Parts: sequence; structure tokens; C-alpha cells
Amino acid sequence: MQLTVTTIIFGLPTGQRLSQVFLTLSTVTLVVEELIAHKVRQEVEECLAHQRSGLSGEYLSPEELLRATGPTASIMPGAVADEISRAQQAFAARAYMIVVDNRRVWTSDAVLTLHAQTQVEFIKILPLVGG
Amino acid sequence: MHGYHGRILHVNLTNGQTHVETFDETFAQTYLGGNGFAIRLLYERLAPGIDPLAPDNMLVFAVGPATDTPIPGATRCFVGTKSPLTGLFFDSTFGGMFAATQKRAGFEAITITGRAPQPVYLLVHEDGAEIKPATDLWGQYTQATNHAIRDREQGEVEVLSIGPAGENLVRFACAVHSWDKSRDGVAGRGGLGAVMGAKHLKAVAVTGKRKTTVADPEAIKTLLNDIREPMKVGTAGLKNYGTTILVNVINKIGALGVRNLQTEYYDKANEISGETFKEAYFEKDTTCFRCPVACGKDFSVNDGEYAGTRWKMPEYETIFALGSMLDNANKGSIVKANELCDQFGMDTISLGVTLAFAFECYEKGLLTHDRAGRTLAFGDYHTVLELIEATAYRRGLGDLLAEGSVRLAGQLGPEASQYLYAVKGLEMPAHSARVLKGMSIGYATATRGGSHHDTRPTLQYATDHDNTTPEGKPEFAVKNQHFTAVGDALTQCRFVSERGFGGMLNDNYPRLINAVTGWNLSLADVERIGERIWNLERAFNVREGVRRSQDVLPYRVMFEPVPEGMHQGMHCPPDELNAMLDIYYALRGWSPEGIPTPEKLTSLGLTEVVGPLG
Repeated sequence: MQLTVTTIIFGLPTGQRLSQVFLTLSTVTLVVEELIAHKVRQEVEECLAHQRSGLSGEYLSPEELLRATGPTASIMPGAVADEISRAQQAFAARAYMIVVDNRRVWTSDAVLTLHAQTQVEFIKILPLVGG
Repeated sequence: MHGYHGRILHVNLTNGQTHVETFDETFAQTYLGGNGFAIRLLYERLAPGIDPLAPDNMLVFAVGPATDTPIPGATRCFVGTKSPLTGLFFDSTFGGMFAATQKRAGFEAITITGRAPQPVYLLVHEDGAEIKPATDLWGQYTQATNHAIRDREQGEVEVLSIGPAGENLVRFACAVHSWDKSRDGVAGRGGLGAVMGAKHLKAVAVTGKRKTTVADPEAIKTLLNDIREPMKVGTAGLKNYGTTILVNVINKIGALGVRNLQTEYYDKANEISGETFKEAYFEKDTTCFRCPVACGKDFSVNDGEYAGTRWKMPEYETIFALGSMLDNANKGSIVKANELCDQFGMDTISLGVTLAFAFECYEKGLLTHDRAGRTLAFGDYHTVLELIEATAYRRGLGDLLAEGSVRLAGQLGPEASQYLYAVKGLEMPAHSARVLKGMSIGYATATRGGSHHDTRPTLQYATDHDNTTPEGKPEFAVKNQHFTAVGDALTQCRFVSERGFGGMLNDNYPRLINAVTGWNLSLADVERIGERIWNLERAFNVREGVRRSQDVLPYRVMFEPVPEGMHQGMHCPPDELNAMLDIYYALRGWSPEGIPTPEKLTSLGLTEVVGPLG
């Protein structure tokens, strides 16, 4: 099945940033950890193939993201396995959140059943102050 | 005494007398400054039960030890009083240049009581104060008043004034400081502008050249080096967009109040987001004195009906109250409304939330067309702008609105109270009491009432903070309230403190205090100061009748789950709130009725100050 994953980074000096990656999955049922792996693998491969200018960045630190917000700056990936591992660890540490059909998913082993209209969002909120 | 001049100025407007009182290091170490000084003075000198608009009420302008030192963000001036909106202790703060100038006048606190026979303004200088006529300024807008007094005094004076709303005793009237060199400041909440109006006090001006000494400049330098990077990272978005950057993110998580909280997701949020505002209207950055963040922005509206309006950026809270809460996505009208509120001198949060309440009551048939004198409809920003002026001058429906939403509800029958969004009489800001459980208990126990400056939402927006469970939230609220109490005593800007020094008390705070004063306080000592201030504020409110039954949330928060969005279904039912209150009171060492126990007061050295309670 085809799945669109949207990444939103909030709080950048350049405002909110949206990016998308399109996944082709062989199953409609998978756990969150697998979804992260698919998403990151796709992004890394697109980066290496020069089909995208850099990682969407949800699992990067605020410092890394801020360094990459210049007009030409982008973050290029390392090895796929390293990036996946890092993304999974960051999710476990709640450094970003995954929202499926408007509901937050909290654990890496949560089972997702996807369908054609499923909306999947990876959301990163950089440090903000509460008004 | 490093960090302090050790003087309090007392002014009585009724008889025109002023006198200077000195305080010692023990007093300073016990209450620090800012709201600590304010609550100590108010508790001691205000008789319980007085009318906040009576001459006996007192205003306290207070600064702290870090004010006018190299510490960034210690730029807030605190104004404490008994609020005409809540009938309880209140402190409201404002930035700009006033606080540093008050410190240069040599007074950490200025108390003002009485009522002048005619409109006056107060000029505070190093030798004391002069009460000067302001009859010709009565009726003027805030900015014109500030400029007129500055011109009249022909010197380096900084001014805070009220507008027509304060003169007309609008219960949520505010006071405005125009700092022409950069960022203006508004002491927005709680109706202190009405207290000034009731005293016939049009403005307070300060001037002076005294320097504040610090004990250990090298230690300050080291501390500032340590906080530079976290502050830079933590305020990067704020620096570019100001607080408006919150609109899109908070809407995304389904926590932005819409149509008087009928829902918490706004499908037009992007039209009034920080990104949209900046692209359309940004003119320049503005900043408070010695602040490296510069979160203020000046806007120039260049399109639509309000083209030509040039005013400071509406803050996130204002965009919520005068935007999404009223289903108003016309961004030009929000800038205009912000200008009108500043010029008339009214709190945008209380005004907007009161309007949203009135609009829903009209929708439900509880506020009739006859009584309103007009049609009220969400999305009708023309009516909003007209009602802002009507409220400031108490004309027609504006006379009811000027009383605030809770008193208005009292006029509309019991059903109306279901649509209120207020705690202890104070309309609530833009950080959801349904979605953020830490705010649920935080608002319920806030000494100011529905304020986001007693318990802070900042850390609760981080993705590693689980908002969905009440577990750990009373503990969070207690700790965070000590942080805000100390921050307010140090008169720190919340943004700089949270992102530079840390959003909970930590070793940076004793380092700061010790470097300025030369003391040797531990983190536990500083925590205790925060706890002491919090307990004294609570004791003030208990003396005014507050008990557990007032530590309650609005009906909608307790009984109506969020209808859509990422946090659909969330609310804070009474059982959950009560369970959190039980834990909270136990952590505080208060009785089950929410009264500080004699043992707790003794442990904080407050027994003699407070006297018998309950």
C-alpha cells in the first residue's frame, strides 16, 4: 500500500517546516518501530539519490536543526542503519511524536493498522515559551 | 547591600504625604523583591475585605535585586494589588525600561494608597515623589499620556499610564508603558488600571541615576556564559516571530480555544499564525532593556480595511482572545483591536474571553438582542472593534462587559455560568485547561486565578511531557509555582528565565542571586523563598475567603470533553480535579480545605506575619 508521511517541525527561526515522504509498504499492519524504519530508510535513500535536499529532521537535536536552517543548509544522513537506530531511540525518548489519524502513538511496539486514507505525521516541537 | 538600595517609598494620594522606609538584608533575603515584596506589604497593610476600588486599596510597584544589573531579562516591574476582578491578591508585570528606571530612583518598592481629590500623576525620583496635576490628561489615551508626561518632565523619565478604561473603572483595565526606544510594556491582567483610576492616578513616572552594585561581576559573567547557548537555542523561534509562533503548533495539537472553547482546533489558524503575521506586517524587532532575545515586533498593516494601522504585534494570548475565541481570522482587525485595547488601557485576554462568552450566550439565547442592543455573532470583527470602545467607555452593552465575564454571567441567569472560561473571576488565557493536565491543577490553585504565570505551560508543550494523565501533575504544579514565585521576585522575564536559566528552580538561580547580592543561598534556600511567597499569597486569598471550593475549573473544562482534534475527549472531570487537589494540598502542607496549616506557616517563618487563618 502507499502511505504519505508528513513531518512538521515547529519552532524553527524560519517558522514551521513541512516535508513529506511517500512509502510503499508490503503490509497494512506494522509496529511503530517498523514505520520509523521505513520512513527513515526512504528519506536516506532519497537523500543519497539527490532526490531530496536533506533529512526532515524530527529526530535531530534542536542544535542540529538550528544549524541547518540557513538558506542553503541541510542535514545529510549517515548510514541507513545508524539513522534508523537514532530515529527509533529519539522516539523512545519522546524527542518527537508520531500522530496517526490525529491520535498520538506513545510506544514503539504499538501496532498500527493502516488504510489508504491513514494520515501519519511525525511532529517535532523545538523549545518554545508558553506565551 | 549589593543588588538593593534598601528603600521603600510610601505615597498617600489622599493627603499628599510621602515617606521613605528602609529595609534590611533580612527582609531582602526573606522576600527577595518583586511579588515577594508586594505580597508582604499588601498582607501587612491591607485590611481583609476592603473594596479593591476603595481608597484603602494599595498598589505596590516592585523590582528586584537583579533589576538594572547585567543579568538579562530582569526587566519586569511588578504591580501588586487587590484585584477588582478577582477580589484577591494580584500581581501583573510589564517590561520595557520602567523597572530599571525605578531602581535608578533608588526604590525597590513604591506603595500607593488613598485617592487624590483630582486626577494626578506621580513623579518618583531619588529624593522621593511629587504628586502632580493631570486633569488635562484625564481622558487621554495611554500613549498620548505617556508622551505628554515625558515631554513635561523634560528628562529621562519612564511612564506607565492608564487610559479611559481605567478611568471608567473597567474591571480588567490595564496600564501601559511606552518605551519609545524599543519595546512597550503592558501590565495587563487583573484590573490594576481600574485601581489606578479609582485613585485618580493617571500615571506613574520614574526617573533616577543611582547605580545598582553587584557583589561578584566575574561570577555573573561565568553564569551568563553558561546560559548563553541554551537561551539562544530555546528562544530561536521566539526571537524571529515573538509569541505568535505558538499559534500553529498549539492549534496542531488541538489546544487552541475557538468560539469560546466550543472546540480547540481552528481551521483558519494559519491565517492568524505567527508565520502569516510576520510575512504580512512585520516592520521591526523591539526589545526590553538589555534583553538579547528581542521577542517584540512592531507591525504595519498594509492591506485591507485596517491598512495604515501601525502598532506593536499582538501577542499569542491576544490572537487567541481576539482571534480564534471569536472566530475572527481577519488579521488586520486583530492588530487594530490590540491597538485599541492598549490605547484605552484594557487587558486583551479578559476582554476577548468576556466577548466570546457574551457571543455564545447570545447564540444560546441567554443574552437577548434587546439587552445586547445589537446582534452578536462569532466572526463579526466589526462588532468586536465597536464593543472594545463601548467597553472602555461603559456604553450600552459595554457597561456589562466592563464588569468581566463572571459578573456578566450573574446578570444572565444560572445557565450562563456553563459557558464561562474563568477561574476565581479571572478570564483564562490560551493554554488549554482541558488538554494540559498540569494547567488543570495549575489554574485551579493559581493565586491569581486563571493565569498562565503561576503554573507555566512551557514545559508541558514538550513532546516528552505526557499531558494525558493527571499523574505527577500536582507535583509539577507545586514545583513550577515555586519557580514562578522566585522568578517574579527576581522580576525576571519568563522567556529568558525558562530558556536561559531553566524552567524549574535549579542551581542557576542561587548562582544568580548570590552573584548579585554576595549571599550564600543554596537551592533549597531559594526553593523555600518561593514556597514562602506562594504561601503568603495563598494566605492573603484565604483571608479573603478562598477555600477548596474556589479551587475549581470552569464547567466546560470539567464536563465537556474536547470535541475534535489530537486531544479529542480530554477534559478534567471533578473527581480527577479533586484527586489532584488532595495530593496538591498534602504536598503543600495545607489542610484538606486548602488552608496553610500553622505548622507550615511556622516552618516558613510566616506565623507572625500571617496570624490566625481559617
